[in-house]
This record gives sequence, C-alpha cells and structure tokens, in this order.
Amino acid sequence: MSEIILEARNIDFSYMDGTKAINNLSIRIPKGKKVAVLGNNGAGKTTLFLHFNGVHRPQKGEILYKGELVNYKKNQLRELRKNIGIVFQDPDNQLFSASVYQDVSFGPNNLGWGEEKIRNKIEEVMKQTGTWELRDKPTHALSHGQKKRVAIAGVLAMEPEVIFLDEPTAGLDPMYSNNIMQLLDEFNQGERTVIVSSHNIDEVYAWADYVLIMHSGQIISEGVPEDVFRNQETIQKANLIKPWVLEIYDYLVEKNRSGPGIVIPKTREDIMKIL
Amino acid sequence: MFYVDQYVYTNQLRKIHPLEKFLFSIITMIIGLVVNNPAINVLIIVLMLGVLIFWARIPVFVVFKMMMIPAGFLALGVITIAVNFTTDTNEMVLFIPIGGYYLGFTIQSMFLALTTLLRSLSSVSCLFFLALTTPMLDIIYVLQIFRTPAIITELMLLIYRFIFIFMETAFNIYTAQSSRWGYSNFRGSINSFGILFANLWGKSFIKSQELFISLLSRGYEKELKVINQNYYFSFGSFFIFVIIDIFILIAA
Ligand SMILES: Nc1ncnc2c1ncn2[C@@H]1O[C@H](COP(=O)(O)OP(=O)(O)OP(=O)(O)O)[C@@H](O)[C@H]1O
Ligand SMILES: [Mg+2]
Repeated sequence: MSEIILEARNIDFSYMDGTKAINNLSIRIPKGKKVAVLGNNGAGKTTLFLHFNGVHRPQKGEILYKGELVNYKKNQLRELRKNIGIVFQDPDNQLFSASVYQDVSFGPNNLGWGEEKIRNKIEEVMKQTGTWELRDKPTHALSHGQKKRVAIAGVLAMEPEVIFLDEPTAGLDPMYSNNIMQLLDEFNQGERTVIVSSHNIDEVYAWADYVLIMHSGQIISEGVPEDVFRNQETIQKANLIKPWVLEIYDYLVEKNRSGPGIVIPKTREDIMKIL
Repeated sequence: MFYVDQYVYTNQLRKIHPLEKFLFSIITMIIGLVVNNPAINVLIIVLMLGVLIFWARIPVFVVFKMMMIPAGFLALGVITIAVNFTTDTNEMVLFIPIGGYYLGFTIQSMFLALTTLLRSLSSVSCLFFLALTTPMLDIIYVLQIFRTPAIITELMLLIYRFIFIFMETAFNIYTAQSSRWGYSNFRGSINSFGILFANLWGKSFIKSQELFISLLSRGYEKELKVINQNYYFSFGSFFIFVIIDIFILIAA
C-alpha cells in the first residue's frame, strides 16, 4: 500500500441554498499517482476539489493532509495552499490580470521566491504549455483553450506537491489535450500527485493509474481503470460509457480472437498491435 | 472605446518603455499649456498625430475618431467663450440685437476661443498619444513607479480586467437572446433588456466570488503581488522623443 497524501473522512458539504453537494464521502489519494475523478454533471467533483486546499470547509467529517488533520488555522492554510494547487474549470474565474505574464507570476510571487527564480520558472512553464507566444497578448484577446493553458501554467509555476485540475482538457483541441496530458505525466515523474476531473473516458482510461467515480456527492466506485470501467452498473449510473479500447479488447477476448493478454491495451496503438 | 483596445496592443510603439512614453506625453502637454502661442499648439497637434499615424501605425480613421470624442464638448465650451453679450456694438464683428442688448463676436473673443480650442486639442492629442500606444497595465506600471498606493493600482488592474469580462458576459447574453428573437419588437426588447441587466449583476457577483476563491487558492493574502515582463529603455526612441520636444521648444 502506497503512502496516502490526502484523505477525506466522511465529509458532508451543502451549499447555502441547501444543495447537498457532498454526502458522507471518504477517499484516500495515494501519493505520486495519476488519479482521475469521473462523474456526471453536478456529481460534486468541483466541490470536492475545493475541499482539498481549504477553500470549502466540510460541515461534517475531516480532511487530512499527509496524515495531519486540517484545522483551518491561518498558517496551516497557507502551507496547504502552497503545496496543493487547483486549476479551475473556468479559466475566466482564475485569470485576474489582463497580462498573461503577470497572471502566471502571481502564484510564485506569493511563495516569496526571488525575482530571478520566478522569471525563469514563468518562462519554463509558459513554454511547456505553449503560452510563451501569447505573453504580449491581453488575456481578453485569448481563445478559451488558450486561457485554459495560461491558467494551467499559473498553477504549475508554483510547483505544488499535489495538483488538481478541473477538466483540464475540456475545450482544448486534440493536439493540446495530448500535450497537456503529457505535461501532467512529466509533472508526475517527480513524485508529485496529479488529480484530474474529466468527462473524456478514453483519455482518462489511457492516462490514469487510479480512477474514482462520483455520483450525487459520493464515491460509487474506485480502483484501477480496467476494473472500474468494466463495472457496467456503476459507469451507467454515472452517465459514463466504457472506453472503446477496453470494449474492443474485451470483445476480442470473448470471441477468442485474442488471448487475454498480460498487459491490457490502453491506447489506439496498443489495440492495433493485437489486431 | 473598446475596439480601440486592440490597436493599443498592436501599435508599433508598444515595446517602448512606458515611462518614456509617459514622460514624453506629459512634458509635451505641459509645453503646450505653458507656452502661450497657438502656432505651437498646432505644431504639437500635428506632431502627435503624425507620430501616432506614421510611427505607431495606428489607422488614420481610429486616430480621428478618437479626436472627435471631445469635439462636441470642446465646441460648447469654445462657443460660450466666443459669444459676447453686451450693450455696445463697438468692437463686434457680427451681432444680433436682443432687447436692449447685443449678442455677437469680437475679434478678441474669437481669438481667445481659438487659442483655447487649440490648447485643449493639443493636450488631448498628448493624452491620446499615451492612451493609444500604452496598454493599461503599462500605465499602471508607471503609476507604481511614482509610488501610487497599491490599493489604487490593484483596483485599476481588476477593473480593467473586469470591464472585459462584463462586456463579454453582456454580449453573450445579448447574442443568446437575439438569436431567439428576444429583440424582434419593442416590447420584447424592453423585456429582454431587463432580463439581461438583472442577470448581468447576478453573474458579475458570482464571477467576483469565484475569482476571489481562485486567488485564495493561489496563496492570495493581502496584496496582488505580480511581476511584469521586463521593459527596456531604448535610446533610439528616447532620442526621438527628446528631439521632438526640443524642436517644439525652439519653435516656441
Ligand atoms: N455556488 C453554488 N451554490 C449552490 N449550489 C451549487 C454551487 N456550486 C455547485 N452547486 C451544486 O452542487 C452540486 C455539485 O456541483 P459541482 O460543481 O461540484 O459538480 P461537478 O461534478 O463539478 O459538475 P460538472 O461536471 O458539471 O462540472 C450540483 O448539484 C450543483 O448544482
Ligand atoms: Mg465541475
């Protein structure tokens, strides 16, 4: 069993209008893994993410970071927000400056780094996210996908230990979706934990080490992707469908056209090798 | 106003250090106000518009449209200076009698009106030079150099960004409504506009809350700490600005 970096124990959360967004939910997020959270619209993914860096406080239950109880004292919150980054679903809610460069510099500045280090880091992440060319443009002149990439750059620049990305590839073209997922892979290499929410099952299936399925504020299924996605009942409940690669593979096995391989195919290329 | 914004970001003087442009604009404006010579004001207007059109490469029609913005306001002010209301017609060039009084122009009043007009226009052209070549954030940067309190510069930063979010939201609602015939007749228009207006406030409120949440999660505490891209002083442009001002002073 790998180390658990974040944990939620029986948390409840309702919005002010009475909507119960999280309902007695418990999860344990393993350190250094690539985790995906799936679920229908309104399942509570965004709300859950906001619990992990102290923006929302559970009305019942508790949050633990590295085994330590989050107590919402100022110093601890600061520490938490330094180590846990969130990329928001709507980039317009995150980009506060009309200058792309300024916006990316905001997080690192709050960490109190030296100017030289900040400038180098900004250049690095902006090049990685393909936003360096946009640095002279005002934020309001960017396309949605471009804004999204700037928002991702702004959080990556803080080098958080854990990074949550709320639908990072929604609205991105296929090339940049791939790029971002690869970037998250790289980011994950250095022992960092990456958690994404997504509606793109095929992407998640190929990318994630661990999958959580949410429905009505609860986790209804979790585990390695191939197990979770084979459970018809839960994935239907969460308005999902089986990833096509897995679907075809299972079909082939069933029809005896392919022996059950030791490695289950994850991508287009994998399945083509079998065929 | 908003469509001007795009020219600001693409003009040829964009990369010049904002402090250079700021000082050039302010110093030239002061010269135009201090020197009491309408010819110099004409010279300043010509030079500023020339710089905007030929150096910054802002389309002629944009420059003139901008210059037309204060025109109505100036015309009103100038006419009240030019028109006299007196009992004797001695110096009047043109007048109409009203009761026992005369309403008309004198040579002096017309000259005064003209000099006032030219002076105002020369100041306006200096300000527009700054407004059309220097993006808002660069102007904020200059204000920071002059030690403007952080609360003011931060507010300017957020307001500037929010103007566009606000506009975009309004525009999106409008499009959504009009594509469903929301503005097809007068009654419908009034109704749709009411809905637009009400929603705009609600949405703006939620947006600002969400923005605050996202700032918090990136470690916001008391200050919006950001750094700008490096600006570079360039001697070339500095030299040209100085030459222009010296030229105006010599002419004066
Ligand atoms: N500010 C709010 N006030 C009241 N209710 C809210 C608010 N934000 C979300 N909710 C409600 O809480 C529930 C969970 O919302 P949440 O945004 O967490 O869903 P989600 O899983 O992220 O959905 P999506 O896939 O559409 O992003 C929904 O029923 C939603 O209507
Ligand atoms: Mg969401």
